[in-house]
Amino acid sequence: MRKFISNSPLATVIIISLITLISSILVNACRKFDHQSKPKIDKAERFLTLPPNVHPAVKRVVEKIRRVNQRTNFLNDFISRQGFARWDKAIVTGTKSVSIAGRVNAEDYCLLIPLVMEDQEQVHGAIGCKVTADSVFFTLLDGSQPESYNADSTVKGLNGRELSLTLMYLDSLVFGHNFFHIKDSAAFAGLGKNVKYARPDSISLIPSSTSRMVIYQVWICYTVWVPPHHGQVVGCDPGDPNCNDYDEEVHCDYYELGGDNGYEIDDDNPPPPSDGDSGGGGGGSDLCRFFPIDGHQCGSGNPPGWTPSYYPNNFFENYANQGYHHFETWALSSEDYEKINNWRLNNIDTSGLDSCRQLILNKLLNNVSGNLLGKILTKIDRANNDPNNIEKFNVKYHIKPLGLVVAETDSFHYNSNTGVFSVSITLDSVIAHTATDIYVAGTILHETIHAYMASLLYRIKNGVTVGQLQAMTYDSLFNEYVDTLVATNEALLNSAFINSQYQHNYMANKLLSIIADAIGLFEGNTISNTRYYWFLAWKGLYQTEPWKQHWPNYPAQPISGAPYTTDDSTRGLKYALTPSRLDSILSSIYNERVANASAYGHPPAPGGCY
Amino acid sequence: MKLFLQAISISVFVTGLNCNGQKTQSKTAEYNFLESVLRSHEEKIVCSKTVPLTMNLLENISEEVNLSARDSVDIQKQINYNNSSIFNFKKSFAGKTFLDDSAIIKNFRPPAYRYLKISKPIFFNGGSKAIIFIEEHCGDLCGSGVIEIYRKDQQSYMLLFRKTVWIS
Repeated sequence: MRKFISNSPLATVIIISLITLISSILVNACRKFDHQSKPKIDKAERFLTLPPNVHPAVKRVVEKIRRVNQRTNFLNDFISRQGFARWDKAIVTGTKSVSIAGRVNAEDYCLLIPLVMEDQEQVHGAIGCKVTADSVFFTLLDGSQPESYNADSTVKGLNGRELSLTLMYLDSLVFGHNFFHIKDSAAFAGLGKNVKYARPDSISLIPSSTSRMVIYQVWICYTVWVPPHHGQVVGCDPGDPNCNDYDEEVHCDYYELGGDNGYEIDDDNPPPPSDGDSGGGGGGSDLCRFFPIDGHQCGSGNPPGWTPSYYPNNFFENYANQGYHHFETWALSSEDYEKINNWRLNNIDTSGLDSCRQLILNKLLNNVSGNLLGKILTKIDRANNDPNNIEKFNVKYHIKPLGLVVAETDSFHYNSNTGVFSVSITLDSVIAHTATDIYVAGTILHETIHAYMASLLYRIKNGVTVGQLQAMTYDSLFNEYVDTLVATNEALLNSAFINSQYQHNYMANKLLSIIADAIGLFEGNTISNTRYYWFLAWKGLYQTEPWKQHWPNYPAQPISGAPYTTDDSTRGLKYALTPSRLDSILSSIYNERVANASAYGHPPAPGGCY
Repeated sequence: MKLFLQAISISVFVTGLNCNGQKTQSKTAEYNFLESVLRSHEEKIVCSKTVPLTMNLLENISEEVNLSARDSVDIQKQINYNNSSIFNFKKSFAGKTFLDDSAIIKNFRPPAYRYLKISKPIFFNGGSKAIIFIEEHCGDLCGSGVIEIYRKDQQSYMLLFRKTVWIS
């Protein structure tokens, strides 16, 4: 036997096979043991698990889905095609009025809940809901099938582009992405161009208070970048410093996100879909009902036709040399984004503000289009071909009574060794507590620009002689600010005189549009008369050259001696400053300041917030 | 004796700054100084209530202006921390109309304002120099506050230093 074992090849094979077999049994036994020791994680239960402190309306939605799932067991299939709900990022909006039909009540809520596939950092879809006193109405925004939205946009209520933009906006809320690469043309159809990149700039979700058929009225503004050589007429001129090989366009879309009209009161059994219904959301009668019945599923499970992206390598090819063209776009390099984010986290002290004004400042710092304040300050540097110095700009915000002054910027301090500039901005508490949110936001923008321009002046003047300063080849817009100061009174160069009117001239000549854009983005661009934002951007610029030119006897009224009275006399401005428009500008600013019935902004509610 | 004379000099200036109508030499100096300063500004309306020139404001210029210890003491003794007073100029002065706060508000349609607020000037260095705080108000988010130091040059005053302490 010993001889057999030691000498026979067959015996060796048998022994090895036995050992392998025994090992395999043991390993599998262990695996089974392991498997049995871990409880199976039910994806449906995970889907229905709520984070703490969610809004009661979100709980209502989850309760409804749970009840339906108990009957139809649809959730596991749904999760495989649409992902998990991010209940913590749900947008919840109360309806504001009672409809004449009495079917929509003041306590109703509209919701938009992002859906995210497991292990993916991208919003894949969304659930739109209306929660009423007696039921919950659903619709699905299915990012996997933009082509079906394009084919049936009338019935669905939105097309593939509007679907993508809404999901991109939710993506920015969930993951912080704000720039997207369009990979499937169906995901961004309808502009007649092959859009390469897109960015949602602002969104206004107005909850419908008149119909259960409509959840939200949606205004969404966005910027797209279209590469040349795809049919567009305008390309880049040779040597154009503003050329980055992409044409930039801004658009706005409006659509109504429809609810499901197939439900009766607390009816969890939707009617069957019509033939050929392959999913999707929106309004109408043949939409995917969200709760699939036998043989019917919502969505393909495919990824959306867009992905979060960084700006392409050649996007900022001429970034450093764009000069004042920086004020014509909100685009920033990733390096500048990083600096702005560092500034937001490390250099801003809001402890002197009350909580409601902090909310306004935070909205300016965390807009869907990014940090509006940080972007403007960065562009002031970049327009002068300067590096971004925002990380050396410390600003502290306060609120206290200032008498007749709306706000002031003071306590300028520049450390010539470190290059760090510190400044204080104070809002008058009386006005800030009565004015609308866009008035206060405009005030913060205006004062922060003042503060940064002061820092720029201190920085440039540090250790520089008059001759050196005059020899500097700054962008012409900067010359309007610093060189004017030097030319006017050379002796003042070495003192710390900041002529507020020089700064105001700079704002009026170069920053009006970007300030107006920022106010619009803050407000959500819901005001159809976009001139209104431009009107508000004039706040405080009443001693500037353009203003005095058009209103020679300012502040006396009526305006006399106005040289340009027709609407086509723009004199380089976006709109002509005719006497009637000057009057409209002042009236608009005043209305927002006192938050009267003619104001468009939100007045402070009881408690001081908006 | 020198310090004693300086103290008298200060008290005379303080008395003069009260605008009590007495035609003292210091009053004349103050009138001359204010007229010189006001004529350099375009604004036609001046608030009759003074804006205080405080120690907090003066701290703003400590890095740029090297005042002698004597000048510092001189200024500190005269400085008005909290109280505002009224200019008693009759109707108009230096081409400006002096109005109180309520009249200023009535005079304009907000937010379109345009007027000055000025502090009482403080004379130091034996009366050869003066410091003043001037606020320009020109409507919502339009205005500034500036500290200015002047030196008397025969009958006129020359601007030595100017610093913006707030802008709007």
